[in-house]
Amino acid sequence: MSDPLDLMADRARHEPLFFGYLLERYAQSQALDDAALAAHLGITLQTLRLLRLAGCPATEPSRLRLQIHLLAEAHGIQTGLLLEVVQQALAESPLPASAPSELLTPEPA
Amino acid sequence: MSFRFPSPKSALELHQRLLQNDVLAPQAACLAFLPALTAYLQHKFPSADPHLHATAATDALMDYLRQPHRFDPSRGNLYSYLCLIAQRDFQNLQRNARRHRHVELPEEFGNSSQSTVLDAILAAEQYEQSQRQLAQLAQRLPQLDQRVLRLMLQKERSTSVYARAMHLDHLSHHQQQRQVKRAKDRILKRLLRGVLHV
Repeated sequence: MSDPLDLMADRARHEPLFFGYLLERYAQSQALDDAALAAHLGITLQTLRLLRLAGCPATEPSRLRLQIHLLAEAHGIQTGLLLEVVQQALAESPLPASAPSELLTPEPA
Repeated sequence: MSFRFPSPKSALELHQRLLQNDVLAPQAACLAFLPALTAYLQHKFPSADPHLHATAATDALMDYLRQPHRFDPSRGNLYSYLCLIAQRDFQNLQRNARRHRHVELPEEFGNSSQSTVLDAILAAEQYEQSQRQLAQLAQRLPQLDQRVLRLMLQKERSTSVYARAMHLDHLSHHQQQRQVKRAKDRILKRLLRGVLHV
Protein backbone atom coordinates (compact mmCIF):
# COMPACT_ATOMS: atom_id res chain seq x y z
CA MET A 1 0.00 0.00 0.00
CA SER A 2 1.30 3.49 -0.85
CA ASP A 3 2.41 5.47 2.19
CA PRO A 4 0.98 8.96 1.71
CA LEU A 5 3.91 10.54 3.55
CA ASP A 6 6.31 8.84 1.13
CA LEU A 7 4.23 10.13 -1.78
CA MET A 8 4.27 13.63 -0.32
CA ALA A 9 8.01 13.56 0.36
CA ASP A 10 8.54 12.42 -3.23
CA ARG A 11 6.44 15.28 -4.56
CA ALA A 12 8.28 17.70 -2.27
CA ARG A 13 11.37 17.22 -4.44
CA HIS A 14 9.67 19.11 -7.26
CA GLU A 15 7.47 21.54 -5.35
CA PRO A 16 9.08 24.94 -4.58
CA LEU A 17 7.15 25.45 -1.35
CA PHE A 18 9.00 22.53 0.29
CA PHE A 19 12.56 22.27 1.57
CA GLY A 20 12.75 19.05 -0.46
CA TYR A 21 12.93 21.22 -3.57
CA LEU A 22 16.23 22.76 -2.44
CA LEU A 23 17.55 19.41 -1.26
CA GLU A 24 16.79 17.91 -4.67
CA ARG A 25 18.64 20.70 -6.46
CA TYR A 26 21.62 20.24 -4.16
CA ALA A 27 21.59 16.45 -4.56
CA GLN A 28 21.44 16.70 -8.35
CA SER A 29 24.27 19.22 -8.44
CA GLN A 30 26.42 16.87 -6.36
CA ALA A 31 25.13 13.66 -7.99
CA LEU A 32 23.99 12.30 -4.62
CA ASP A 33 21.31 9.67 -4.22
CA ASP A 34 19.12 9.66 -1.11
CA ALA A 35 21.46 7.52 0.94
CA ALA A 36 24.46 9.70 0.09
CA LEU A 37 22.54 12.89 0.82
CA ALA A 38 21.38 11.58 4.19
CA ALA A 39 24.92 10.49 5.01
CA HIS A 40 26.27 13.91 4.01
CA LEU A 41 23.80 15.60 6.35
CA GLY A 42 24.45 13.07 9.11
CA ILE A 43 20.85 11.91 9.32
CA THR A 44 18.80 8.79 8.59
CA LEU A 45 16.67 8.30 5.47
CA GLN A 46 13.59 8.62 7.67
CA THR A 47 14.76 12.03 8.90
CA LEU A 48 15.59 13.02 5.32
CA ARG A 49 12.01 12.21 4.38
CA LEU A 50 10.76 14.51 7.15
CA LEU A 51 13.23 17.23 6.23
CA ARG A 52 11.91 17.23 2.66
CA LEU A 53 8.47 18.08 4.03
CA ALA A 54 9.64 21.21 5.83
CA GLY A 55 8.99 24.56 4.20
CA CYS A 56 11.31 26.37 1.85
CA PRO A 57 13.17 29.10 3.76
CA ALA A 58 13.26 32.76 2.87
CA THR A 59 16.23 33.82 0.77
CA GLU A 60 16.88 37.15 2.52
CA PRO A 61 20.17 36.46 4.40
CA SER A 62 19.21 37.21 8.00
CA ARG A 63 15.90 35.36 7.75
CA LEU A 64 17.56 32.51 5.87
CA ARG A 65 20.06 31.98 8.68
CA LEU A 66 17.37 31.98 11.32
CA GLN A 67 15.13 29.57 9.45
CA ILE A 68 18.02 27.25 8.60
CA HIS A 69 18.96 27.25 12.27
CA LEU A 70 15.40 26.21 13.14
CA LEU A 71 15.43 23.44 10.55
CA ALA A 72 18.87 22.22 11.57
CA GLU A 73 17.98 22.13 15.25
CA ALA A 74 14.71 20.31 14.60
CA HIS A 75 16.44 17.56 12.58
CA GLY A 76 19.74 17.17 14.38
CA ILE A 77 21.90 18.68 11.63
CA GLN A 78 24.78 21.13 11.97
CA THR A 79 23.49 24.59 11.07
CA GLY A 80 26.60 25.48 9.07
CA LEU A 81 26.34 22.32 6.99
CA LEU A 82 22.67 22.86 6.20
CA LEU A 83 23.31 26.49 5.34
CA GLU A 84 26.05 25.43 2.95
CA VAL A 85 23.68 22.97 1.25
CA VAL A 86 21.01 25.63 0.83
CA GLN A 87 23.44 28.25 -0.47
CA GLN A 88 24.80 25.77 -2.98
CA ALA A 89 21.26 24.88 -4.10
CA LEU A 90 20.30 28.55 -4.46
CA ALA A 91 23.50 29.25 -6.38
CA GLU A 92 22.40 26.70 -9.00
CA SER A 93 19.49 28.93 -9.98
CA PRO A 94 17.03 31.27 -8.24
CA LEU A 95 13.81 29.89 -6.82
CA PRO A 96 10.76 30.14 -9.10
CA ALA A 97 8.08 32.78 -8.52
CA SER A 98 5.84 30.18 -6.86
CA ALA A 99 8.25 29.82 -3.91
CA PRO A 100 6.86 31.25 -0.64
CA SER A 101 7.32 34.97 -0.09
CA GLU A 102 9.56 36.20 2.71
CA LEU A 103 7.51 36.79 5.83
CA LEU A 104 8.28 36.96 9.48
CA THR A 105 9.23 33.73 11.15
CA PRO A 106 8.59 33.06 14.84
CA GLU A 107 11.50 33.84 17.12
CA PRO A 108 13.11 30.69 18.50
CA ALA A 109 12.18 29.96 22.12
CA MET B 1 1.56 8.08 13.38
CA SER B 2 -1.97 9.20 14.30
CA PHE B 3 -4.95 8.64 12.03
CA ARG B 4 -7.04 11.07 13.98
CA PHE B 5 -7.37 14.62 12.78
CA PRO B 6 -6.10 17.23 15.24
CA SER B 7 -8.64 19.12 17.35
CA PRO B 8 -10.17 22.19 15.67
CA LYS B 9 -8.05 24.42 17.95
CA SER B 10 -4.80 22.63 17.07
CA ALA B 11 -5.69 22.55 13.40
CA LEU B 12 -6.34 26.29 13.42
CA GLU B 13 -3.05 26.98 15.18
CA LEU B 14 -1.24 24.98 12.53
CA HIS B 15 -3.13 26.87 9.84
CA GLN B 16 -1.96 30.17 11.36
CA ARG B 17 1.64 28.93 11.37
CA LEU B 18 1.33 28.15 7.65
CA LEU B 19 0.01 31.63 6.97
CA GLN B 20 3.01 33.06 8.82
CA ASN B 21 5.40 30.97 6.68
CA ASP B 22 6.70 29.07 9.71
CA VAL B 23 9.33 26.90 8.05
CA LEU B 24 8.39 23.86 10.13
CA ALA B 25 4.64 24.21 9.56
CA PRO B 26 4.33 22.33 6.22
CA GLN B 27 5.99 19.29 7.74
CA ALA B 28 3.77 19.47 10.82
CA ALA B 29 0.72 19.78 8.56
CA CYS B 30 1.73 16.70 6.56
CA LEU B 31 2.23 14.66 9.71
CA ALA B 32 -0.99 15.91 11.30
CA PHE B 33 -3.36 15.89 8.34
CA LEU B 34 -2.19 13.38 5.75
CA PRO B 35 -2.76 10.07 7.58
CA ALA B 36 -6.18 11.25 8.75
CA LEU B 37 -7.20 12.39 5.24
CA THR B 38 -6.09 9.05 3.81
CA ALA B 39 -8.05 7.20 6.48
CA TYR B 40 -11.11 9.33 5.68
CA LEU B 41 -10.95 8.32 2.00
CA GLN B 42 -10.37 4.68 2.90
CA HIS B 43 -13.48 4.78 5.05
CA LYS B 44 -15.56 6.59 2.45
CA PHE B 45 -14.41 4.54 -0.54
CA PRO B 46 -13.38 1.20 0.96
CA SER B 47 -13.35 -0.83 -2.24
CA ALA B 48 -11.12 1.53 -4.21
CA ASP B 49 -7.45 1.05 -5.08
CA PRO B 50 -5.46 2.02 -1.94
CA HIS B 51 -3.01 3.93 -4.12
CA LEU B 52 -5.89 6.21 -5.15
CA HIS B 53 -6.65 7.00 -1.50
CA ALA B 54 -3.06 7.99 -0.83
CA THR B 55 -2.71 9.96 -4.07
CA ALA B 56 -5.94 11.90 -3.57
CA ALA B 57 -5.06 12.72 0.04
CA THR B 58 -1.65 13.94 -1.10
CA ASP B 59 -3.21 16.00 -3.89
CA ALA B 60 -5.67 17.59 -1.47
CA LEU B 61 -3.05 18.50 1.07
CA MET B 62 -0.80 19.88 -1.63
CA ASP B 63 -3.66 22.08 -2.90
CA TYR B 64 -4.17 23.40 0.63
CA LEU B 65 -0.47 23.97 1.36
CA ARG B 66 0.01 25.92 -1.87
CA GLN B 67 -2.80 28.30 -0.97
CA PRO B 68 -3.66 28.07 2.72
CA HIS B 69 -5.26 31.53 2.64
CA ARG B 70 -8.15 30.04 0.65
CA PHE B 71 -9.45 28.38 3.81
CA ASP B 72 -11.79 30.72 5.63
CA PRO B 73 -12.13 29.67 9.30
CA SER B 74 -15.35 31.65 9.62
CA ARG B 75 -17.02 29.28 7.15
CA GLY B 76 -16.24 25.98 8.84
CA ASN B 77 -13.51 23.81 10.28
CA LEU B 78 -10.32 22.80 8.51
CA TYR B 79 -11.06 19.08 8.69
CA SER B 80 -14.28 19.46 6.68
CA TYR B 81 -12.52 21.73 4.21
CA LEU B 82 -9.69 19.26 3.60
CA CYS B 83 -12.04 16.29 3.37
CA LEU B 84 -14.09 18.07 0.71
CA ILE B 85 -10.98 18.73 -1.39
CA ALA B 86 -9.77 15.16 -0.87
CA GLN B 87 -13.10 13.73 -1.94
CA ARG B 88 -13.14 15.89 -5.06
CA ASP B 89 -9.57 14.88 -5.95
CA PHE B 90 -10.37 11.22 -5.32
CA GLN B 91 -13.40 11.33 -7.61
CA ASN B 92 -11.34 13.01 -10.33
CA LEU B 93 -8.68 10.32 -10.09
CA GLN B 94 -11.30 7.59 -10.11
CA ARG B 95 -12.95 9.11 -13.17
CA ASN B 96 -9.63 9.18 -15.02
CA ALA B 97 -8.87 5.62 -14.02
CA ARG B 98 -12.29 4.45 -15.26
CA ARG B 99 -11.80 6.21 -18.57
CA HIS B 100 -8.85 3.94 -19.27
CA ARG B 101 -10.23 0.78 -17.75
CA HIS B 102 -10.94 -0.78 -21.13
CA VAL B 103 -7.19 -1.08 -21.58
CA GLU B 104 -6.14 -4.16 -19.66
CA LEU B 105 -2.78 -3.17 -18.26
CA PRO B 106 -1.16 -5.87 -16.16
CA GLU B 107 1.59 -4.85 -13.80
CA GLU B 108 4.28 -6.12 -16.13
CA PHE B 109 3.19 -3.69 -18.90
CA GLY B 110 3.93 -6.75 -20.97
CA ASN B 111 0.99 -7.61 -23.16
CA SER B 112 -0.85 -4.43 -23.91
CA SER B 113 -1.41 -4.81 -27.62
CA GLN B 114 -3.26 -1.48 -27.72
CA SER B 115 -0.22 0.72 -27.31
CA THR B 116 0.49 2.46 -30.57
CA VAL B 117 3.56 4.02 -29.03
CA LEU B 118 5.27 0.69 -28.50
CA ASP B 119 3.62 -1.25 -31.33
CA ALA B 120 6.83 -1.25 -33.38
CA ILE B 121 8.76 -2.92 -30.58
CA LEU B 122 6.03 -5.35 -29.58
CA ALA B 123 5.20 -6.37 -33.14
CA ALA B 124 8.78 -6.84 -34.33
CA GLU B 125 9.15 -10.51 -35.14
CA GLN B 126 12.88 -10.61 -34.73
CA TYR B 127 12.67 -9.67 -31.00
CA GLU B 128 11.97 -12.96 -29.38
CA GLN B 129 9.94 -12.68 -26.16
CA SER B 130 9.82 -8.94 -26.70
CA GLN B 131 6.89 -8.54 -24.38
CA ARG B 132 8.65 -10.18 -21.48
CA GLN B 133 11.75 -8.10 -22.25
CA LEU B 134 9.63 -4.99 -22.25
CA ALA B 135 8.12 -5.87 -18.89
CA GLN B 136 11.58 -6.47 -17.42
CA LEU B 137 12.90 -3.23 -18.87
CA ALA B 138 9.88 -1.30 -17.64
CA GLN B 139 10.38 -2.55 -14.11
CA ARG B 140 13.93 -1.18 -14.13
CA LEU B 141 12.70 2.29 -14.95
CA PRO B 142 12.46 4.85 -12.11
CA GLN B 143 9.03 4.98 -10.54
CA LEU B 144 8.14 8.26 -12.21
CA ASP B 145 9.05 6.89 -15.65
CA GLN B 146 6.93 3.82 -14.96
CA ARG B 147 3.96 6.10 -14.27
CA VAL B 148 4.54 7.91 -17.56
CA LEU B 149 4.94 4.65 -19.46
CA ARG B 150 1.71 3.36 -17.98
CA LEU B 151 -0.08 6.44 -19.34
CA MET B 152 1.58 6.01 -22.73
CA LEU B 153 0.40 2.43 -22.92
CA GLN B 154 -3.08 3.62 -22.00
CA LYS B 155 -2.84 5.99 -24.99
CA GLU B 156 -3.30 9.00 -22.73
CA ARG B 157 -3.21 12.17 -24.82
CA SER B 158 -3.74 14.87 -22.23
CA THR B 159 -0.59 16.80 -21.27
CA SER B 160 -2.16 17.80 -17.97
CA VAL B 161 -2.67 14.14 -16.98
CA TYR B 162 1.00 13.43 -17.64
CA ALA B 163 1.99 16.65 -15.90
CA ARG B 164 0.02 15.68 -12.84
CA ALA B 165 1.61 12.24 -12.75
CA MET B 166 5.02 13.89 -13.07
CA HIS B 167 4.20 16.52 -10.41
CA LEU B 168 4.65 19.38 -12.85
CA ASP B 169 1.51 21.25 -11.80
CA HIS B 170 3.47 24.33 -10.90
CA LEU B 171 4.75 24.79 -14.47
CA SER B 172 3.05 26.63 -17.34
CA HIS B 173 1.29 24.52 -19.96
CA HIS B 174 4.07 25.12 -22.45
CA GLN B 175 6.73 24.01 -19.94
CA GLN B 176 4.64 20.96 -19.08
CA GLN B 177 4.41 20.00 -22.75
CA ARG B 178 8.17 20.27 -23.10
CA GLN B 179 8.90 18.22 -20.00
CA VAL B 180 6.34 15.57 -20.88
CA LYS B 181 7.77 15.20 -24.39
CA ARG B 182 11.29 14.89 -22.99
CA ALA B 183 10.16 12.22 -20.55
CA LYS B 184 8.40 10.21 -23.27
CA ASP B 185 11.41 10.43 -25.60
CA ARG B 186 13.74 9.39 -22.79
CA ILE B 187 11.61 6.41 -21.87
CA LEU B 188 11.26 5.20 -25.45
CA LYS B 189 15.02 5.53 -26.03
CA ARG B 190 15.76 3.48 -22.93
CA LEU B 191 13.29 0.80 -23.90
CA LEU B 192 14.56 0.65 -27.47
CA ARG B 193 18.17 0.42 -26.27
CA GLY B 194 17.19 -2.35 -23.95
CA VAL B 195 15.31 -4.33 -26.56
CA LEU B 196 17.97 -3.80 -29.22
CA HIS B 197 20.77 -4.54 -26.71
CA VAL B 198 22.60 -1.42 -27.89
